[in-house]
Amino acid sequence: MKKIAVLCFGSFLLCFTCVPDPIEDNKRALVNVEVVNGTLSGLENISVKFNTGEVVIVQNQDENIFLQDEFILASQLTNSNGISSFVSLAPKGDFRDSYVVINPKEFDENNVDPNSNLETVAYLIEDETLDISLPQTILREKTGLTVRFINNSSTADFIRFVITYSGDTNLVSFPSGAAMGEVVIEDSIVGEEIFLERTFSTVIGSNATLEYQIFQNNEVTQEDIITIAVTEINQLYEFEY
Amino acid sequence: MNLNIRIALLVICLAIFSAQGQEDKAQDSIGTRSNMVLYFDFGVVIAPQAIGDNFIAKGYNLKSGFDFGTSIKTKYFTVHGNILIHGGKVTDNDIVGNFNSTSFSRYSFGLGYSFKVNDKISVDPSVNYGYVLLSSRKAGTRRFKDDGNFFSVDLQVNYQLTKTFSLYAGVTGFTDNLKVKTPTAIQDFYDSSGAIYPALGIRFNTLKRKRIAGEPGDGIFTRRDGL
Repeated sequence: MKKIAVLCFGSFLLCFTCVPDPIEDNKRALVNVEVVNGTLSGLENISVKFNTGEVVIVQNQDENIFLQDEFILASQLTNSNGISSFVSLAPKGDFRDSYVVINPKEFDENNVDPNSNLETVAYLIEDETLDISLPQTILREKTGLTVRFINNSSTADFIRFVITYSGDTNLVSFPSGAAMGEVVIEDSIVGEEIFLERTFSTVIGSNATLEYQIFQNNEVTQEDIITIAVTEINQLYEFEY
Repeated sequence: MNLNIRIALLVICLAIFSAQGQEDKAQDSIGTRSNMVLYFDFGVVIAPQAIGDNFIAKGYNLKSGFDFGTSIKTKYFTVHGNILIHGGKVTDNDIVGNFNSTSFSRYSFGLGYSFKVNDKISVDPSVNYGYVLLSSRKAGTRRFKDDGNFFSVDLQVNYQLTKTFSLYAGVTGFTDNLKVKTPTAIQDFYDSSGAIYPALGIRFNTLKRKRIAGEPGDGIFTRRDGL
């Protein structure tokens, strides 16, 4: 009987400690967001979520930022002026990251379909402020950028390149404003290959940079940094060397 | 356990033990009867209403609940201890938070006076101080709380049914001072609230007067009994 009691008590403790405890007692945060498009008109019905979880930044061609173990503290849609203002439960300061996600990629808890044509912007809240009044946020249109490498050189042994671009999920620190959503992809092409393409998911209005070095006999014979202005849907940039 | 609850429970216990001690002492010394009475109240709170411009009034639909109390009536005043529990459904998540319901608990003690209108009816006003706990849980998490202190003013009318039981109807007005922290711009909306709680219930009298030679029957001690 004593063993059963100890077992039950142990199970209870185990279950209790397994339950997440992300919410701070006696606290509320105020979240104010204004979402506009490229012409600064308010964007309606954009989902805004205040989450606690873990922000993971990766350098991946398909997905540059992961928001893991999300726990939604509050969510709301923007009104016709693109404004969302709500009071939220407050996350425990030392628990995990807290962040506001505008236009999350997945369905929100109200089953609101995300606007798949627009980028996702996440503000990582740096301190334990309860007043989260974010700056006006421009949601840019998503697009694909294809960089095509064409080898017309008979002398190049290989080309090493670094492409830096703004992903379609962008992370910004609040209140400092530092952007952390840039993706850096490094790759190289051996001389025998004459054709290679890389396609990235980025946003219109951003700039991508192509930094390259062409090698011959293990020496750099040519290098440069090229800025590519992303201005259209499914943009193609051809680089010949 | 919160310090306020501990203090409230300590005061209630001390009051009860003190009353029983006084009861024994009075009976021993006089050999007849005490001028103290111990009551227990079991009631329901019906359709409590939050009032004012605050997040409870604007964002909750308060539900009915239960009211448990004890009172010690002395010759000059009454001492009260009370526990009140009810629920509240969140009606506006944008001002309360993203969860569905809250359990409200109030623990209080206070002082009052009993006015006897006639043999059957008495009116008991009192003032109380206590601890209020709003316990909530969002799906998939542990419970979290908002809490604070409150003052309340209570008016209770009792109708004597038998020597042991009476019915009561009462109304209590609460002024809450909550610890909730928010940005300054909205602090006033969250750190104070008010509410009115109507209640109905049964009062149980545990002390019966001692039979005295030449006096028929048992009954509840009152000031009218001659002490």
